[in-house]
Amino acid sequence: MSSNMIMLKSSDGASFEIEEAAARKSKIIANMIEVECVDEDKAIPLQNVTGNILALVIEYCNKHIVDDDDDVATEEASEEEEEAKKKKVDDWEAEFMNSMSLETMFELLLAANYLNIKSLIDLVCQTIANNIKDKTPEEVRKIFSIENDFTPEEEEEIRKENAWAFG
Amino acid sequence: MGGRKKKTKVCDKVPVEDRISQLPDSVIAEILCHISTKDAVRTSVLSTRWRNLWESVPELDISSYRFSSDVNSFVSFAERFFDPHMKSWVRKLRLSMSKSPDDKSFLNRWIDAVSTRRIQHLDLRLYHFNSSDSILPLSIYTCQTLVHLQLHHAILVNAEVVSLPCLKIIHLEETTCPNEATLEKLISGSPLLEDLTLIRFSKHIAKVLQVRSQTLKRIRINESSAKVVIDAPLLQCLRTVIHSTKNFEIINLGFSTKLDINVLYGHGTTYRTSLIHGILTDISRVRDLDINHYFWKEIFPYSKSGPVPQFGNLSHLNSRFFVTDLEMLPTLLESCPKLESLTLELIDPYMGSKTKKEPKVIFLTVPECLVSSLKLVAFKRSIPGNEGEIELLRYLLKNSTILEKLKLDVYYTKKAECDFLKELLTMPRCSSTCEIHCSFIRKRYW
Repeated sequence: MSSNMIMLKSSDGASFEIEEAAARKSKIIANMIEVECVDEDKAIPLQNVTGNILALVIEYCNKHIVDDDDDVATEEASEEEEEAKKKKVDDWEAEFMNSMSLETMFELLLAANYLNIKSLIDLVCQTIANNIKDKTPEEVRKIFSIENDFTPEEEEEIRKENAWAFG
Repeated sequence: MGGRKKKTKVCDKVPVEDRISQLPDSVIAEILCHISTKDAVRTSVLSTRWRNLWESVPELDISSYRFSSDVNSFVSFAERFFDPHMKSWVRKLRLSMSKSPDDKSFLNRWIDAVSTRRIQHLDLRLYHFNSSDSILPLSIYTCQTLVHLQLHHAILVNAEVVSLPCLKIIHLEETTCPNEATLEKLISGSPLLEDLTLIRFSKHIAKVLQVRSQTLKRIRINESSAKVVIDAPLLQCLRTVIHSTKNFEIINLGFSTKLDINVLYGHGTTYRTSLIHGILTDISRVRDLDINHYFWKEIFPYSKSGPVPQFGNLSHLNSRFFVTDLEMLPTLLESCPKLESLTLELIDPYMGSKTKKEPKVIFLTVPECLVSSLKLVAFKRSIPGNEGEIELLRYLLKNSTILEKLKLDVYYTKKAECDFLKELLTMPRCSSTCEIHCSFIRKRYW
């Protein structure tokens, strides 16, 4: 694993230094490194990500550097150690997501999507989805401030169409 | 390294603005992938923006149970996803149905449709189907994007050509196959295969199933009528349930393969000598073993007539044990001179009953592994107030030279917990670096 450092620059001009191994969690950045369009002295400009969101992305990537070497790691580690390790990561992720507002989550999701970081996309989607799961449409509208622009008749019609899902 | 520039807001969970509806369709579809199809369908009434968004979710996970087992309306609901003109991605299809619908050709249509729409994960559970309705189309053998295939109660047809270049996981449960060549082709046609599960698979075909793969890492079998002959040099773990005869044979079993063996045992069953002998030969080769208690009960009486078996490579042993069978433990430990970690899940054979027989664990000599290799001992579900067990703990602590950790999960009442801890702490420990981890589970009566 290389410990080369890479510079990332957010849309609002903040610069961040990150280990190459962590930056490779982003498929986009990994591709850029592969085709060698990363200049060592120059920062990679990320036009769609603001500094405070990029900081979160980097925090996540740093925490998950080792993931990619999973196959090698499991050889020796016992199941129990594996479980403990997984629990630690899960706890960290829960705490990480718990510390941010829905607003921030959406920004982070867009950034993860733009940078193509699959595991972060999954984590944020799951957290947002948990706010939809097993809730009534009324509750979901309230949580996300979604305005209902259907007429009562229209809404009734849609509910009828797939009555099985609303039972 | 740049830290977090601005601390994000905490507690401010309700947004003022409707940001979620402003996300691109593909991102919303990604969010909806993380909930059931039922929950996704319910989002259609949120607002006009959400009216059809759920239809673009690339995953479909539904059970006819959701339709009060009305399989016909289930099929007509799901049909829209398999329109042959649709080209959108179907990443995952998981169907669980409780009986055959009137529509006999739906399975062919749906699988043909998804196989051209880059499906990665296909999971079909066809319970109580008429057998003619659960026959899968040939397209299942040439699905270029499939990674995970799971079939329950399905029928595979004779395979001419199998080409599954991405497939990593095959799980076949109660699924029938016309001949063993089809299974062999399925495996050889999957050059990336890592996981194979066969549960009650062989009953209609051969006595011997050949599993040859250069990539397989994990195999799970539960077969009662056939022997699975495994030739997989990268095998890391074999999990098996054994009924009455040994149902597996690993060619060139190396010590890096973990064996997880569950020998089923009915009242009055005695194992065949060939079964015991076969398993003993395997255990003597491997380093990592997970096995249930019925087996130990059989092998030590068996070995009385001959030399005590030796498990020279075994370093990790995980086993379930009746508390009353702990008397076998000294013999077992003597058989494992290189044992590093021992995990015992203790089961009380007299659950709830008043008659108790306390085990007397007697060590004639200190087993070699205690002196030279044993670093971890874990007792799961230990039962309180059992003198035999307490004496065993005392013995292990006193005689294990390099023990690093003793872990105990104990069912206890609050008062007994205190007494037990006091007693545990006064026990002399031979290893100065030994840590004791104790977790108490309040005693339940079950």
